[in-house]
Amino acid sequence: MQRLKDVLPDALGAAQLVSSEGGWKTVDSSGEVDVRWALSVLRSGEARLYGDVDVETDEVEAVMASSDGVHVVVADGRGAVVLRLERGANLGLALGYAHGVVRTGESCP
Amino acid sequence: MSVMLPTVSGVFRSSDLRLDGDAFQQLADALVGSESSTSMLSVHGDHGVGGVFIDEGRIAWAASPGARHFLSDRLVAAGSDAQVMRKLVEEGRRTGVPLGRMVVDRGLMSAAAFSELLFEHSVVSLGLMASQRVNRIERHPSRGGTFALAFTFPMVPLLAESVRRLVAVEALEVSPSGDDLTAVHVAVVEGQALPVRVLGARAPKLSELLSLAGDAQAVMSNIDAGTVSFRRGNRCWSVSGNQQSFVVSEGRSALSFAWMLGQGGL
Repeated sequence: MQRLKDVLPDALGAAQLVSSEGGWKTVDSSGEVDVRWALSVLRSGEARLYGDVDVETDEVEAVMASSDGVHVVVADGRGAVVLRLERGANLGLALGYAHGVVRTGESCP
Repeated sequence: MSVMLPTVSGVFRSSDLRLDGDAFQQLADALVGSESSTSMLSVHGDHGVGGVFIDEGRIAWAASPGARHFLSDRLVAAGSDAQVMRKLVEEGRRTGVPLGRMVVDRGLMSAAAFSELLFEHSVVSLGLMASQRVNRIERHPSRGGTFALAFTFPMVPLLAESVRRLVAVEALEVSPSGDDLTAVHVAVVEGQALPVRVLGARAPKLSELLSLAGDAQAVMSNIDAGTVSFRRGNRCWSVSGNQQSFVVSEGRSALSFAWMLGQGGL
């Protein structure tokens, strides 16, 4: 968690997932993050924009702000990162970080 | 496509009328079926038969039984001479020349004033149609292509104005930017997502809007209240608000992404 805080000071939690048999499997997580809820929101919105997604190369993202806090999800066909952040967090930084992890497969702290 | 609509001054607003969800759905389906064509819809409701003229996918005018005023009555109420108007109506019936064209061509009313009056008349009529039980809607395609009417309005802003006067929704003070941005305030009434105001520069087709609003309603059911933005490359769509009232936007501009997050109070 401290390593994550060093990169994203406003982070409250993070999870890294890989695609597995049509679903997602969590391979690493730290802090508090509602992975199931964040992915369900992504799924409810993905059909509109992501119907023709190229799973090998296209990255999709969702940012959700609600009473439960701020969640950022970035995913491609192989992996996904879910971040939970404090309100008012630097979203550009969080998105850049999440995209980097998804692209390189480097483990979340 | 930019939305240029007349500014409505004196508006009809009725607390007696209540939007009928089934009637709205039937009306919306019939309008969607005509959004790429020129046709006339006969709306058979509990209060009689009304009509909606659609010219190349845009609403030219709507008239509902129960509106009390015919278009000519509205023209008289707006200052036109009653006797002159009666003669024009008769002439129009005889020659087939639209009343509005005669009124404007003969200098009885400015084009802008007539456009505003026609818009208002159609808003009231659609509102009346959507607030009574609709038994059936018949579609009559125009044989000659276009009706060649001088004034037409995009479906979504007109329908939204009708809905907004029938349902209680808070006004939103927002000014989204982006030339290619669709942004519409949607209210959910009896489980149906209904447009109440077009906020963006672009007026979507009614079918596009209903699809977008339905998707947004599904997203909002997951979060109760807040903002969600989805992005892939430079395409994005967002929804912000709560389960009863939300703004949904879609466009290629990254501005919509930033704007919607701003609405969420981040």
